[in-house]
Amino acid sequence: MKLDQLKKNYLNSKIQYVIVDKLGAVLESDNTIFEISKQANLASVDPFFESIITLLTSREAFQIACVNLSIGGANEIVDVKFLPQDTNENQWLILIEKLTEHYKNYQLLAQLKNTTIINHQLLTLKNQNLTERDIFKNVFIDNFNHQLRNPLTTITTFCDMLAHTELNSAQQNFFNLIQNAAKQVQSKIDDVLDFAILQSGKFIFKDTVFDLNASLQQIITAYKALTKEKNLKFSVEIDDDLPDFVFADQFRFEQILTNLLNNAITHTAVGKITLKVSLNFVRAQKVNIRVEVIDTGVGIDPTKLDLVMERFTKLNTNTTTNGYGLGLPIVKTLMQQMDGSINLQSKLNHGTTVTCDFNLKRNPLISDIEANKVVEVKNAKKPNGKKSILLIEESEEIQILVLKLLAQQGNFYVEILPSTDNLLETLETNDFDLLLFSEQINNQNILDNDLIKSKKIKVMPKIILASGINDTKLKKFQKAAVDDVISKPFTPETFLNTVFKNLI
Amino acid sequence: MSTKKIVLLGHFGVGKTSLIRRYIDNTFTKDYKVTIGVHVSKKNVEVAPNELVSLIIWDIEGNEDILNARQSYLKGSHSFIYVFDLSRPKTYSTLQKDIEFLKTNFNNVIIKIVGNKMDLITKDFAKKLSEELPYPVDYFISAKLGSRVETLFSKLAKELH
Ligand SMILES: Nc1nc2c(ncn2[C@@H]2O[C@H](COP(=O)(O)OP(=O)(O)OP(=O)(O)O)[C@@H](O)[C@H]2O)c(=O)[nH]1
Ligand SMILES: [Mg+2]
Repeated sequence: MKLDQLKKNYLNSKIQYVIVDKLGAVLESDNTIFEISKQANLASVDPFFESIITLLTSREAFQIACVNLSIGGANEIVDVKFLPQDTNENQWLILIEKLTEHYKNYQLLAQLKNTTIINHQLLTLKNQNLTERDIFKNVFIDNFNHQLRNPLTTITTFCDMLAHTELNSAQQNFFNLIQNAAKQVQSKIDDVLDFAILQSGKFIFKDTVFDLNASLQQIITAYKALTKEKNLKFSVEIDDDLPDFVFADQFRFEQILTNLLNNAITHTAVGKITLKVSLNFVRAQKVNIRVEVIDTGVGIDPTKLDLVMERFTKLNTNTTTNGYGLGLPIVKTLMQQMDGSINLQSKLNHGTTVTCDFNLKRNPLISDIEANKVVEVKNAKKPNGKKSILLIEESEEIQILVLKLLAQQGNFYVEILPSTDNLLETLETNDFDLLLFSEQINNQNILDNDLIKSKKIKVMPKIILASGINDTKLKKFQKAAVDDVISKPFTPETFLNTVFKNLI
Repeated sequence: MSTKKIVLLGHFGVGKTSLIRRYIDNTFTKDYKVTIGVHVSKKNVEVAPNELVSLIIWDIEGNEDILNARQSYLKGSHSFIYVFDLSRPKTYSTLQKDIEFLKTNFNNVIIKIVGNKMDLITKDFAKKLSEELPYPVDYFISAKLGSRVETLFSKLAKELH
């Protein structure tokens, strides 16, 4: 911080004077920062003060730093000094000093430091118990993984930290080099590991709801830089119609894209790389997305096209395929296991086009969650008093949706079970006013689950979150004494109406 | 109505703020915003028919060493909830030292030891961990799913009453 800035900060620093008696009644306040009316008791001003009042029975000065207060619309971070008055032994002087800017700067640093350290811890842990590890028997690769990943994790996380500090331009250059090199090593290790897994069996996929657009933007930013380094043009065409969110394994999705882009860059000396992402179709709960990576590079001999997709090409015949290496075989296997398809077209000395069609799951509800609007419920009355709801649902997006919708309405407590594993325990230790459950849990119809047939559940009001309704289903629901049905995807209004109706 | 001060302690990122938001507003977010200093919130709890206790909950910034926490925040507490993150061993590596510190320096303060982010680990792991830790874990909770969150505070309110 510059000196004048510092001076300005201090000039601007504000102090509020408040005089209270030892019971907390406000005798005087100059209201420099917060509106605190005379006659009020400090306890009613903010819970912070409420818990301090008991300390005013002593006669010892004390100070509490960095308190986040929001009083009558003013949100500030302040230091508060409590000084017993010599002149009147019933009175205390309270000095509230506004230091919001100062503490906000400190917050930014703490944010960076904490997230970096946490990520580092989690990465190290993840490397220790990599889920896929069981699959490899190869001691060499296992060791290789272990011994390279940990130091590499340290390098990349501290690079991230360094990126947030001020560097001069020479340092910036060195920094970029280190960072890129580290990224390359990281991706090579990933490739080798994946290759080992490829030989031995299946990849593991972890599907979550992710922000497709954010993911693409991140890749685009990275590859803008990488193509620039090689003096290649990078052209991007992204369809406006793409859904904002999809349900898939984000890591694998990005891995496929980066593998294709890396390949393209490696094999293109002049010209450009094009990334096209477009929507093929949306059907029911599925969304089909096409990703094309087009380069103007050396291309592949048409007779070798099939070969480069096979696993052992690079290792067996390294002269014929110009080092297409591990990338494409990995991509091919991943695409197959993700229920998608891949197509390779190439002309020697003209370039290669790889087309991948991803078959992903759609996320119809997320836009409602995003809007974050409080929903007005017209057709049902909000129940009186606090209600506890148990939700059995494995989809994280529905979990969050239900939580948000009910939180906005206030006075609900929602406990979530992602499976029926802990159902009995949960019911034993808590009382719920309503049970909401998804029709399918763990690939099984929940009504076929014996736990749901237990006595305790029989007597509870319950609503099923069904994936579509038909007559056979309705009969089944009735037979199981389900009180109501909400069909997915549902609107917030329908959801709340149905819930409220069943709580009265 | 009696007023009780509860302070949440523990390393950063273990889920102190999330736990309080889950309890008070019934919300949860995946985003991590580091707390600095202290945020105080309040909730009235019915401990018996027509008998309320007012819980004043201090959410303080996380620290890897309890000695680095601002000691002024701890003054006048009726209870400490020591929270650790079940998915990050580092966050319970100082449990013994931290609890001993609290026990030596504060008399008559109820201490609860809480392992958060239960959704990220298996039951077996939790069981194994309880056997290994120097103090018994009072609650295994998940701020994300809401499991045992209400129970933790409502039982504590009764105990404090
Ligand atoms: N999966 C999971 N994540 C959680 C849970 N509780 C909190 N988190 C996540 O953990 C991160 C940290 O949570 P916070 O509540 O901000 O942690 P804190 O202890 O207040 O951190 P400091 O304010 O820095 O001390 C956030 O990203 C939360 O979303 C949980 O029960 N399960
Ligand atoms: Mg916090």
